[in-house]
Amino acid sequence: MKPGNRPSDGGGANSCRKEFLRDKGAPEFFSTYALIGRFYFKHREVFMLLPRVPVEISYRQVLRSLGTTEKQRVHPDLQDQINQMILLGKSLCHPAATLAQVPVVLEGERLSLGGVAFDLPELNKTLKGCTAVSVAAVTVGETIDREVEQLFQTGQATRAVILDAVGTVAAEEAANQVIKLLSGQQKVKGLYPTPRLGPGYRGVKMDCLPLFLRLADSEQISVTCNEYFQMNPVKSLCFAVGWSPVQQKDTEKCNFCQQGNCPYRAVGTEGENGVVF
Amino acid sequence: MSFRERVKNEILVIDGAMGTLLQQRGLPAGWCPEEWNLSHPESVKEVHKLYLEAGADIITTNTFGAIQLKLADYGLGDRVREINLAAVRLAKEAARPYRGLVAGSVGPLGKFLQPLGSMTFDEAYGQFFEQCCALVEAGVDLILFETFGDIGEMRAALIAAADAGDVPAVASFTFDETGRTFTGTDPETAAVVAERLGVTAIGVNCSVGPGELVQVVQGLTQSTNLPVLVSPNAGMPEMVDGRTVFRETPSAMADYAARFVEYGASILGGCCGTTPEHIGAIYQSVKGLPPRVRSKQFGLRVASRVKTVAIDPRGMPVAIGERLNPTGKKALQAEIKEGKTEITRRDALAQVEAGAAILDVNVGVGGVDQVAAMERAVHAVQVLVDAPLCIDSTDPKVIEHALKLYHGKAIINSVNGEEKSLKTILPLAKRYGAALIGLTLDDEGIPPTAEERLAVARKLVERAEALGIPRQDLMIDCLVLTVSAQPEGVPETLRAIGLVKKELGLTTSLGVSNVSFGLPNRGLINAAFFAMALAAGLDAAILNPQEQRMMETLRASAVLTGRDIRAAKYIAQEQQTGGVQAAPRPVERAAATPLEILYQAVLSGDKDNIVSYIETALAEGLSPMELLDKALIPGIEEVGRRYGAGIYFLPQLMMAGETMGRSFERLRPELAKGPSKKVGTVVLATVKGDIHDIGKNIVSVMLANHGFEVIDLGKNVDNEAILQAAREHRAEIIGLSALMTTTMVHMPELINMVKEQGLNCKVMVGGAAVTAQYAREIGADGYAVDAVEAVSVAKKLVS
Repeated sequence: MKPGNRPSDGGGANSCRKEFLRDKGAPEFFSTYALIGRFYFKHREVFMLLPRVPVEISYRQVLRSLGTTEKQRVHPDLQDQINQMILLGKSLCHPAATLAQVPVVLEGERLSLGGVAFDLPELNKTLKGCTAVSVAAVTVGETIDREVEQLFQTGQATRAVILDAVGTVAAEEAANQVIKLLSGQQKVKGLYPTPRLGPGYRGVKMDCLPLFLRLADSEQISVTCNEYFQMNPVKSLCFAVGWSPVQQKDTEKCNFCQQGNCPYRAVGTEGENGVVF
Repeated sequence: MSFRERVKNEILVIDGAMGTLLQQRGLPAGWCPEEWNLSHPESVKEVHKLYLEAGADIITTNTFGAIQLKLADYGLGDRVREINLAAVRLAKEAARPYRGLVAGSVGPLGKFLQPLGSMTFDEAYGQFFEQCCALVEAGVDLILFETFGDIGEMRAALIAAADAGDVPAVASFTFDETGRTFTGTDPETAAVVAERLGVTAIGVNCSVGPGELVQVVQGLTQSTNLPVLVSPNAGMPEMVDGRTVFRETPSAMADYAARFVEYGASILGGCCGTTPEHIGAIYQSVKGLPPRVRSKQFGLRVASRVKTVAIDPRGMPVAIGERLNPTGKKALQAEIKEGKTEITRRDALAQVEAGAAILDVNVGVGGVDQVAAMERAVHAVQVLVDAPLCIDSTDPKVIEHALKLYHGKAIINSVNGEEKSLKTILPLAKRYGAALIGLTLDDEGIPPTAEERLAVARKLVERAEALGIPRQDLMIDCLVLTVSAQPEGVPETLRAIGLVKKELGLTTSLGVSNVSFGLPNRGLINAAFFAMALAAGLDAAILNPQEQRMMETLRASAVLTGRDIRAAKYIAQEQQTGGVQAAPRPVERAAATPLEILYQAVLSGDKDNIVSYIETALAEGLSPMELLDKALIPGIEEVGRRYGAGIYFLPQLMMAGETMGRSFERLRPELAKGPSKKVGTVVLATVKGDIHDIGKNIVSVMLANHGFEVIDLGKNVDNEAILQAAREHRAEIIGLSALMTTTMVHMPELINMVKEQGLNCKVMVGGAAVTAQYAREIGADGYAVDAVEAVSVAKKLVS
């Protein structure tokens, strides 16, 4: 998920198939989690906790996240405020990540990640040919969000919206950093990352978010979601990246919201570094 | 002849890939390669012999993953010693007829150390120590730590190797196409950190093909005089028919190997995809070439994980930021007691932004677990800034813990001439590869004369060198006394700086601000003394880099003492801070009348001056209503128009909003006396379940600045609470925001409740997932795509 922004769910619930559990007559929701839990303890070597992900927050990225175009002039006063908020944001961000490499099995139309079967054509399409999939949860923590709220409450709306953008950029950068780290390890095996896939995007239903979070064991970094599939802390992402011998170029653009000047709306993406949501 | 002797005098060839050759001999995919040391010893020995036949001087044992953590994946976690002993025995048997050397191969753990990962230093150390002990026991000629992508992990490995026995260690990293390791370390930093941990050689293996490694090899050979190992892959991997293949030919690899020898490399081999044919070609290409002698003089260098800082007697003096020290800082003391790091992080960033090259970290607060406090501080700071750290404590336990955690080459602040200090601090610097600040005091206290301080400095350097700490890693602090109490002390300090540099050739540092205790306007005294110390040859100072005068003194003195050649850095800094032309304000025409000035102030978001402009306008006889109707409201409307047209963006909208907020605040007393200017009352909320409310907050600001009374209920609000507020405040409008399709279902519920309860109230909706069509379908009275449109929609709804 893109931090500070939100996906549509794109469809109904229960898209994750759990027939193996139905056969046993177990309550679907909790039993699925229990199964994934067992998977983890059985395959602990594929889990990684990164309690501090180093991120860089560039002025240009923050501007872009605020919706500027190259043509817009930025007044020096505003430049100062943006630089101040980048500094403040860096001091308030606590970028952390959990990630797990899970086995991927594609049988016909059905794809299984870490023992959980999905019947999502778009997911299957993107992960086709992948030999492994990493599921990650990334957050920059809740301190920055609290500060944004505080700034709004004290009438400092400009600083609030800038700091919010800094948090968004930080979370995106943390996700990119995680993928970069993994890419370095996978490249020697001749594998390249697919675009990021997250609940709410590319046909992955929102109700998959709890499963994705569980696969990534996001509770290790206190990332959860509520019953409406909203992540907490707000500046968090959860996504999967497939590892494929074929480099994929992604030109999909986000058309989710109505904001014509949203930076993600106009951005085509490519490989590991792009914003794909 | 030993590895240490041979590597000084000849080019050595090291073997290539092991795993692929074992696979060719039947090693199944997914099987533990190291287990074959026990079950298929002849196959392992055969691979060794192929490389020896091809010309390899060094063969590496089949123990890359023979560490408990990795063997445990195969249920072999309790057989570390057995597998390593077997592997070394096979390699030695194979090498004996060829007089070959045996390198015990140790690979990375596959886990990141804290703070990047969850593994502790001690856990990693334990893993490496167990394997290294087995390799030493088995009699390897050297231990080769290969394919390491994280400098923190390499530190743990090298310290473990040193503890395991006196066997030469080679630190070989893997770098990506950007020339850095996975966790961001550049070749110079890798060399600086590893060299100080006592490695015999340093190198690069795996990574990419030889062509992509040229700059990395040059970076390594220019950063150290140690022998350099280069073992690239046979090109970049490619997938062909589901298999990874490497396409670099033996002859191309051999050409590169000769080139690497020219750069100064002296151990050449291959990694993934290389075969005995590649190694044979490399042997033909480089054997007999003389190793290039490198004898570059390196001074004191310290490093973070990603950056090296040199303290060079001929280069720019270095500022060591002093702000991360709780002495005299109540807020920082409280933070350390509470276990937080917000001030620490903020001050670390601010100091680096202000020009600090190194940061001093001190957590000395009474009644606090300083080991834990130092851990929090070091973890927080080392991922936040690229400046190396100076670990400042009087407690050896705190220092040792910090040195374990730190992924670089830190400075210890400090050691002194007291016997107790020498015995506890110097071994820590040696073991963990740290530099030191040496204070010129001993068991008798601070010597009064420069000559006596020189004697203490000499003792410090002798004792450091006796332990194997290079003399250049000791920076001498000649100690400044308080000038108000001991005015005769200042000239002695300045003389001592000169003597230490002249007689011992060491760099010097100083805690500058001590000089001014007890005097008014301390900054002035500090700056003057700092300039004098720099003139005497001071190389580094612990100071507050956020004091502009100190940093200006540093830069100016560097020019005047010839340490900033041609004033290049001075000029660059001045251009950066003073030479930038301020961009014109987005004002299209010169403001003349008070109303025009106000209008322009709203357009440009000039919140700092808006109140004084209002005062001027009021003083000129304009009424508050005139200011609102003829300047402020038109101004904010124009801002909205520009935002809608894509000319302005969100922060400009907010700056204008804040400016309007100040205007309303200033005019409120006058406006209260006249007829109400309130446009309407809006109850705003983000629906139940939605915890994102920045969009709603922006709408709130904009509505308030257009004269609406806004009752902002916040986020995640029950429909019942919204209706209650609407009734209580007699709201004309309820504004609802929803981020996601999962939460916007509460909108039609509320609209139905409004109708059922007969509330005289319109409902407008918006939010990222909400569309105009959806708004129509659910019977909303209004829909707005953004905050600017929300204002116009709201105005229509109340008109």
